Amino acid sequence: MIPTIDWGVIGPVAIVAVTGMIALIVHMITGNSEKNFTQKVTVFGLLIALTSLLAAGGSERFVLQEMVVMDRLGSVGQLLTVFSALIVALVSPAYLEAKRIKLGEFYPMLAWATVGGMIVCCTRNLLVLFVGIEILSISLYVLAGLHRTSKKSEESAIKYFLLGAFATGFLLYGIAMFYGATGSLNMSTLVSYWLHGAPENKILLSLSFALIAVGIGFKCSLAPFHQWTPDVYEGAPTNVVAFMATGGKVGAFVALWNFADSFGHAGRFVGMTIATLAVLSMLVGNVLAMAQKNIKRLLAYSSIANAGYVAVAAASVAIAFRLNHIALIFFLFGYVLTSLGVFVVVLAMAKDGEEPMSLDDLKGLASRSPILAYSLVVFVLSLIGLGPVSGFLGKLFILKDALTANLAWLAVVMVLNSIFGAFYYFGMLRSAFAPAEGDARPISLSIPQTFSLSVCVVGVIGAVVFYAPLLAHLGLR
Amino acid sequence: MEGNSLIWLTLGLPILGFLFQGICGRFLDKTASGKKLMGLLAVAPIAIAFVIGALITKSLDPAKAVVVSSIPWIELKGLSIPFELRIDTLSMTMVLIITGIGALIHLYATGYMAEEKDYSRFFAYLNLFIAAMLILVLGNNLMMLFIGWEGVGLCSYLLIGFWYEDVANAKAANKAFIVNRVGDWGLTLGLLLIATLVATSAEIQGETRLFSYDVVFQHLPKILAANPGVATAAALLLFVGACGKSAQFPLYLWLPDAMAGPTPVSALIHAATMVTSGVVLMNRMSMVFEASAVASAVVCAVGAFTALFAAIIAFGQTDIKKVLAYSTVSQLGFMFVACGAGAYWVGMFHVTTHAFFKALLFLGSGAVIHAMAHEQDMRNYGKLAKYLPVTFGTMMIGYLAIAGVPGLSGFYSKEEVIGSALAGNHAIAGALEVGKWSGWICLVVAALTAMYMTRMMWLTFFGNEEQWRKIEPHHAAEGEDDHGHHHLDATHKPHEVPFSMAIPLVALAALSLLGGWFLASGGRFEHWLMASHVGPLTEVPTHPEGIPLMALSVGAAVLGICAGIAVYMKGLPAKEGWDESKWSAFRLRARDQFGYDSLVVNSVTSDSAAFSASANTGFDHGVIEGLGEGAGSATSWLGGIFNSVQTGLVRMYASIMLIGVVVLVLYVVISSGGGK
Amino acid sequence: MKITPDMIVFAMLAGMAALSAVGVVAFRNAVRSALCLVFTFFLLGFLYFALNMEMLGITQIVVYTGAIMVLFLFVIMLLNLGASHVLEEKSDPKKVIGIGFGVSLAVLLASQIVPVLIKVNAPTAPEGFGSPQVIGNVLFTDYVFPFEAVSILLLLGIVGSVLLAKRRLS
Repeated sequence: MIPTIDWGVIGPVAIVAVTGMIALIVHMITGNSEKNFTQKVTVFGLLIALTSLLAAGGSERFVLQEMVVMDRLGSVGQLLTVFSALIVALVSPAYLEAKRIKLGEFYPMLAWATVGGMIVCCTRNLLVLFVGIEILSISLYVLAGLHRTSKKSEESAIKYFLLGAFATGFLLYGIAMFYGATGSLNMSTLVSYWLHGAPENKILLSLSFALIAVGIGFKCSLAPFHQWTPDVYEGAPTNVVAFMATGGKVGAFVALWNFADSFGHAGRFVGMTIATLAVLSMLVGNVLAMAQKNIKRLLAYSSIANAGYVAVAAASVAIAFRLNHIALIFFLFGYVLTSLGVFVVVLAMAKDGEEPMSLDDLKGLASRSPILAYSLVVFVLSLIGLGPVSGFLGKLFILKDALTANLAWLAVVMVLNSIFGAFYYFGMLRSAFAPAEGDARPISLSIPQTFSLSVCVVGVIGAVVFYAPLLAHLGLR
Repeated sequence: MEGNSLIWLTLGLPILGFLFQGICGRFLDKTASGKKLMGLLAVAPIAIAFVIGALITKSLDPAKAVVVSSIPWIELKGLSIPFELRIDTLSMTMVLIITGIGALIHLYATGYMAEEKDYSRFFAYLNLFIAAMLILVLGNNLMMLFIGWEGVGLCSYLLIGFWYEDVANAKAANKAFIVNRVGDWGLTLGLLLIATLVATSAEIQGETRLFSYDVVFQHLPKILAANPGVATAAALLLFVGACGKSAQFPLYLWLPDAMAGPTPVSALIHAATMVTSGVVLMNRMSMVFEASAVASAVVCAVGAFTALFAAIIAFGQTDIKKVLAYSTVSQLGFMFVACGAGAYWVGMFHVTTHAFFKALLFLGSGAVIHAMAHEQDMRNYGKLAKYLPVTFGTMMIGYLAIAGVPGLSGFYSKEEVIGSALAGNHAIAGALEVGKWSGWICLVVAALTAMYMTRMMWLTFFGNEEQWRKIEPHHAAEGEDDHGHHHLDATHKPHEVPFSMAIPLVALAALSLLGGWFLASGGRFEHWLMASHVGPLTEVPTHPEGIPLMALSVGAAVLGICAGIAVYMKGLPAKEGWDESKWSAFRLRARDQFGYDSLVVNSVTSDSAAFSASANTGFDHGVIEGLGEGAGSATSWLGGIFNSVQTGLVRMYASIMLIGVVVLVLYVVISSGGGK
Repeated sequence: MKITPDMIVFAMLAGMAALSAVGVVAFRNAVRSALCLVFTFFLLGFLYFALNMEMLGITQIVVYTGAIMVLFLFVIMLLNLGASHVLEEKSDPKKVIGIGFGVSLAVLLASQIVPVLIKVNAPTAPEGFGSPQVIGNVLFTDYVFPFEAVSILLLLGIVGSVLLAKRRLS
């Protein structure tokens, strides 16, 4: 029997996948034309997917034996993934032009990476999870090497690929053990096997937990599986990094949360392991970020630290199960909008094959383009977790979860780390408002750039202002 | 073993020979006597296989196909593919051609390759080729056919590139390989389609050997008759496969280049046997083509066009082997015309006689090349008849046979081809009688064939002067190249072939002289082969009403020969000489295959800008040059990456990750309490 | 645990597969490595046969051994990697770390898994297990979503490799 397909659930993924194919064909026909039809098609397709996602938000559904799980977290994850792809697709033409990367295949690859992220967001089946992660990773490997004339870009691609393959091996091994123990690929079957299963199965399951954690940890760039992150962020084209750090991470974070939620039933050790990873990541990310002079490396370490915060949420849910998604949803919302915003600022500064590399290159931003500078202020506030912006709210909810799960010590570590973070984030602002050195020409923003920037700013602030209606719309409380 | 089981021996001997040559050969072929031994051991299995094949053929009842012992191979639920051999008149005809002519060519090669340092490697490939070809024709299922098909393709690839140090040879081998992929794509789809069609009705009987001929033949006709569209699809897919292997337009490209391989290979693989496997396939699966008049019309049209196209190109060639190569392509076109017209046995008849005279011509050309210090350009030959009497005499017979002079083998088969095309009413697309048109084209091509063969013979053996006398003598120090061969220069004295090479020439000459008459008299071949056809084969007349076929075909041959003599009597005309600026535009275009080859090659390797310009460019961008450049830059690219990666960072990262994994696993193992 | 003929066959196949897998990384010559990989894949195909998964076994041999590895070899030969001494290096302490921790991971996992596996009874496959029909049915019903997802993965792989390999000189 062919299963009936719930298009309300599969639809958005299918739309994005088909968008990629159409974009590829359009690119084959039109080539790198002035009009850039490939980009237009991609933006259009992503818009349709975004609309359908917003329209679909209804009941939670399990489709195809949990291969697709459309819950709140999943639909928000998909929404954010598509949204970041959309913003990246909007601001990319100017950047690719400036860096002289004439490869229109960027857009289909971006669409497919989005598909991978979307699949990962909405599943509790390990097979689907694996396929989704591979789709996401392989397109990112390729995208990282997009800048063919830059050695760094190629180096980052091959490093990412080699290490990614290494991590995938562990993930797959873990999945095999899970299957060996339960005869199923659905993570939710773990509960019954753990409660009623033989001790032998428990050994296999705990090993499978450790190995899958390595695979997902790599994708989230949790320490100690994070080393690829700074190098890849530094080498890859910035627009690719913008997606990698936002849309690419959302899927991994949601997967980590779902994974922790399912495996939490196995016992306290699951939560404690993830908590350990969280502490390591926060420390590594924040401490090393302070030593960075390169903007992209700094943002890389920042994303490692943020992965640590997500891991705190995951550890909490693993220990005190039946926690709400709400903390992660808000955190992701803030994280994605904020990071996207910072990257849009960096992307907008690229000119004549050059882009800001070191913090010093940010100097004079306030005089060159006040809009960019003041937007950066909003984003930095959100990253630090201060004031009335969404980053604050997300962290607050995660702290609350940690306390609910009796992980007070973890909450303390997290607060301390946020204070560390303030140092280097403020460093960015200090540069931006310092007097200009060298190039002091004003920066003109194109319409898509302005639009993207304002969406991000409005979103970051609006998430706090419209906090209550937003929650109501998502059906949470 | 008794009776038909002996057929396994026919198949096994070449394999044994291959194993022996491949494993022990390189230790033994260092000395002259060792080479002799290896040569003997290469010829013997094929010769014995021939004798066994002949014995089996003798006791074979033409009306009955025998399936010999099947050994299980692939067993699945609903599908089983055994190793099984089929003995019928079609397969035994091919077995005799393959082993018989194969043995002669092996013998010839022992002399031809005597100076070669990779002696046993050559014979290992050659024996392997025979084995693969036998699998192709003897197998009783489509999968074995496919294995053989790919096997001969592999051997062909290896043998074309036998002198792989030479870039041109490696390029030719790659080209053959790549072009054949296109054909194999069609063949694979065709085979799977047929098996899928058969599956439904075979399943009812509980029969799972979906690929086996007896099952296919039993079920397929009904299915195809009910679905003419599917029949056309299946037939065309199979024909794409046949086009690839049998070098028909548009996939003929690889065959002329394949002549870069050693001459015995050209004779055996690229003239007598492998390239005819497309025709064998069409005979084997004739019922599919029977069911589709449209597909048959396509076959006819493609065959006729290829015959004409290749014949014209042959006029532009100055390399003796290239002329023969295009002649082969052209003759293969004849065979397809016959098959398309529905006279499948005529196609096989032409395969047989063509195997005789084309192998002879190739071996003869090999003898000439051998005698002329590996010079292949006919413009350097002339008046060789007096130096090479045996070669000349035997090649003359081959030449008269291919020209279609009455009494010789080529005459009989060619007349049947043209006759069946003109008379047949099978190949009809809509209102267009493609078969008849093909027949008339073939008649023209027959005259052209006679003419360009006359050109070749005249430039080589007759003419006014010994052209190579004009070449400046080389200095003694430069007199030998890397292979230890002498260069051709004015001091060269052609020498006749050794005894081992003369025997095959004489034997093949005898076959070319008498084979056609023997097989044609009393319809012997027709009755013998018709029995193999299990399908609803319509009797296709081979003699059209109201057309004086005999007079026409003799006329075409005589006309072609006379025209050839008239033009080339005084040796090489100036407008075909060394100075290519004096060539006529048409001949220049013909030499370059009217730009077709470069068009295809460029469109595959370069981007669209070069594609539009490529019609005017020559062989500048070969497939492999393109690949080579790509590979070169890819290497430097990779090198660059690895230089920067080899700072050890990736390893460092991986090591740290590994440490992390170990600690993590250890932690989980301890904290989960080992499942207790 | 009783030693059965099946087990001996399995042990031989698996042992050889593991050995040649070691060969893949141990050989300096890229062609040899690739051939080792061919051999590994080939033996894995036989392992599938031993598990009644003819379909999977044949696919493994046709796709990996037949198609993919041939491509590998072609690429390696085309790249003409040259003398392997280029790849030689001074002794690297990370190698020791890598081997040390690799072995310890293997030992750690084995110490946990082996005792478990010893107690497992060999399951018998149901009728028709691993046949093309069964696999096809499962692929196109229960697993249709991952199946389609994999098709995107493959498309992506093709486009991606072309993208990386293509050289724009302008």
